[in-house]
Amino acid sequence: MENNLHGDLERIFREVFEDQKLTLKDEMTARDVEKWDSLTHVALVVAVEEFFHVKFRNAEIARLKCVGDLKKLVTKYNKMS
Amino acid sequence: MSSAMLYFDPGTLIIPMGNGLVRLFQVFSRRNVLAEQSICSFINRCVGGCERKAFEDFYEAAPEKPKAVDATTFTLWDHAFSNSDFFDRTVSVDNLEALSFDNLLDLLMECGILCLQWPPAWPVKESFGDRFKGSFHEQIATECLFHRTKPAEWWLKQKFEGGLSAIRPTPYRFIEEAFLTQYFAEALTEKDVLDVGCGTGYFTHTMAEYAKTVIGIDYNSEYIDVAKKKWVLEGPGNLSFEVVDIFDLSQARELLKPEQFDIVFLIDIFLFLFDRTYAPDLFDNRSVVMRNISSLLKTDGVMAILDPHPLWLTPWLGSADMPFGILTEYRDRKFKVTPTLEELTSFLYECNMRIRRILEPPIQEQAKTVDSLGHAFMSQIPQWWFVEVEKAL
Repeated sequence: MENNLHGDLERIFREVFEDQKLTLKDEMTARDVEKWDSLTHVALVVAVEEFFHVKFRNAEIARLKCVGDLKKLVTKYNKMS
Repeated sequence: MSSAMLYFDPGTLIIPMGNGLVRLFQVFSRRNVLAEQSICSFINRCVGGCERKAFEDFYEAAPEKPKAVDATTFTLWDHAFSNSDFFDRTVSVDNLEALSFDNLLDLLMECGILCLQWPPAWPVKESFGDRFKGSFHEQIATECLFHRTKPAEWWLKQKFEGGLSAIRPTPYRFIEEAFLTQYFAEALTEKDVLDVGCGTGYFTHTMAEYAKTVIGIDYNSEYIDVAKKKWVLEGPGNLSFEVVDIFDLSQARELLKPEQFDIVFLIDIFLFLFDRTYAPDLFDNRSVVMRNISSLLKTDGVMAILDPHPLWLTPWLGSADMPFGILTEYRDRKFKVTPTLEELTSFLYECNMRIRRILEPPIQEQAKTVDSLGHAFMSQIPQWWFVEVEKAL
């Protein structure tokens, strides 16, 4: 489950940020990824929601600080479904 | 916690609204609270500092608890032109709630009316989803995130209507389009013209009505697809659009040749060269962009920059008879995204270019019927500046 989630997210990140060598880490933040800015962040959230068929609350999105936070949020919604 | 101090942030304006209501406007962070006027006695306790415990005791002793509500909004689709102070004018007395002490404190601190330290600190944007913080462009991106809207789509929706065939009745129409239409008629006859960052080509196709040839370029292929379908097929035949990365003209040497153009337009584009947080690539490589554009100009060619004015995004207050604005920043910009006059001229000088003239386009009278206060303010305070630049020989 954890490995699948990590792999799925890594594929999404690679596609959104156009970097097939990107290696996802829990502590990773926007500062660590060259193309991760306020514009691509919109595309990232939309891509994650579409892939996992979830709709995050805006307050939850506002609290996201790193990849680990995003994984926890997806996991929470997966458990609910 | 009982020893914590609370301070009133003097960046707050208190504006009587009538009917016993006041608006607390935090002018730096553009946060607004609508409240009963009794709230003034509460925040007055915190001028110069008040212990939290003393503030709580004052609250407990008050016969009536203060009623207030967050009246901040970012009207995504109406742009800052019609909501420069982020005040939600739809809130009313019906929205007011008597607040518990904790909720009162949360509201006043969240909106920057009270703070825990002196001097007050500028609110730091801690994530892309942190609302009402960061530069104007960053806040647009946050609102787009909450609406799950691509920023590129937002730009179109806030500017155009009628299937991208007309400009909405905003200052875009009453200032920008009015000025450009007149300028095109006066300046483009028999000229070879390039429109950099042409978007979906609305102004580019108008240029083609007057010029000899017009090429519109943009890095966004979706915009260029739309422009080609919308304007080229039934256009006058002297108009074309292509996807071009302005950083690397070697990819477009067949289309764009050295000293090909009499006029190169940058319409609402130039400011992105000065926004280090929203478009860091453009900021870091702005000299490359200018050099590339300059190389395309004929010896006596003109680069025509129409850009938001440094006074743009200044919140306006007062009335249609006596409007006024509040300037909170100029050199060290945290919200605004436009270069100063010194930054503009220094940058062009470094790029071996010089300014021929600067115009500050006026607003049309008919804007008054849409927004009388906005019209009055913009009649006095320019919202765009137009800069004609030439090569320094």
